[in-house]
Amino acid sequence: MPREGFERQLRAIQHEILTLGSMSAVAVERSVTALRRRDAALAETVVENDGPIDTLAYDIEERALLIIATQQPLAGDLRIVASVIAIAGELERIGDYAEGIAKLALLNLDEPPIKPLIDIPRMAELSIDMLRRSLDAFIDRDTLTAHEIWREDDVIDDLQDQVYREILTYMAEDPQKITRGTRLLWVAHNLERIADRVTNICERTIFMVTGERSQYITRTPG
Amino acid sequence: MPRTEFHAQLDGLRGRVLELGQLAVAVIDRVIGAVQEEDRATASAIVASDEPIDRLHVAIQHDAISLLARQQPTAGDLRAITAGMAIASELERIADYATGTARLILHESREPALPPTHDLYRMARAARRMLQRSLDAYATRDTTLARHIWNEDPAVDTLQQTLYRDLLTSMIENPSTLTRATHLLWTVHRLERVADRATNICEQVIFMVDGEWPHFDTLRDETLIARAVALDSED
Repeated sequence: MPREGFERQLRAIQHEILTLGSMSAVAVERSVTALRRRDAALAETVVENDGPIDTLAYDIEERALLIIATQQPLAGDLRIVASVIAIAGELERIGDYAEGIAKLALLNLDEPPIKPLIDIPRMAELSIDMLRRSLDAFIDRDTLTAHEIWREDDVIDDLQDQVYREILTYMAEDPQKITRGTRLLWVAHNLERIADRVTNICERTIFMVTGERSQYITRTPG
Repeated sequence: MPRTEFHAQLDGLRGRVLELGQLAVAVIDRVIGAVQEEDRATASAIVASDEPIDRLHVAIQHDAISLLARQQPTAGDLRAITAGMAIASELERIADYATGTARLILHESREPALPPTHDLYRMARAARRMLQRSLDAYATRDTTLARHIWNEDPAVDTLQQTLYRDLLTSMIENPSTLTRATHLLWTVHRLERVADRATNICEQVIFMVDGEWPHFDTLRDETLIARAVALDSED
């Protein structure tokens, strides 16, 4: 295939990554809104829309692998296509976490909320912002922004600790709140995992641009 | 690249995935022991071992992609390479679950001890067995074995639900061990994820060998599920 055909294919799958990223970001947004507003219909929408997210992720992966197998790209181009595969995987898992939050939101509808939600929506807001910017950084090959976002993960981790401590206090004071509290702990856990996956996307961008393995920084595993 | 060299590289890829597999199995074993003994030294060692595991995973992905790019693979070869990549990914995340569990052991807690129940060890053994045998299925391209292991998952899910119920009850009745109970909840969750990822490995094996992605309806076998449940309760 001539060079321009290859370039077109490359641009197309990167565009698909943005689409997938948008779907995942919306899923996270809606899942936490559903939790906050106790909105069963919205939560159900998130659960239903996880299928299309999975399908698009697999689709992108398949197409990327086909490009590699048929085009045999080298060096920089190969790293781009490989990064697309990795990022599609991260976005698919972010979608899964959003679905998890939506399901927890549905479970917590049986009883009144144990406390007003402040830190959890804050975690969501920050993670979603990190996610959107990380995808821009990927498209723009912007390692500086990628690195900045990577560092912002600490804020999310601190918020998660805060959420845990607070919810455990509520649970200890009133055993009736334990089941609902545990579900909120899971929500916070999922949001922390989402932010962690965003840092993986940032690492990928840095590796893709610099090509250096030494830039690969491991993160706290879940 | 001549075909014979290509096949040697394919074998090499499989070998490295299996190597990663053994690291994952080993770290699961060690973390269960560490949970049982509240062994902080082993927990620290497990956390430290995460980086070499990640590096092997990255190396495998790199090798697989280079292999794809260097020769026009046949359909079967392509599936062998992509299955290797996907399985390596599952294994790296399984090792991450062990590390996450180890990190919780390292948390300081002034709460009284809360020993894990027998059910937790049953669940750990079941998940570990599923993992090891899914790797055996990959090594020998054994789709029958893969199908058998896949059907061991419902028994693990049942154990998870039992353990969740028991832990939540314990949290309500004994607020003095609330944090420790929460940690055990995470451990139960991670063990279920290990088993689930082992089924993903099984699906990859079947796809790699048969050339078609296995569907839920063709995989699920009530007889095999019942047998797994029966075997499990003999523990």
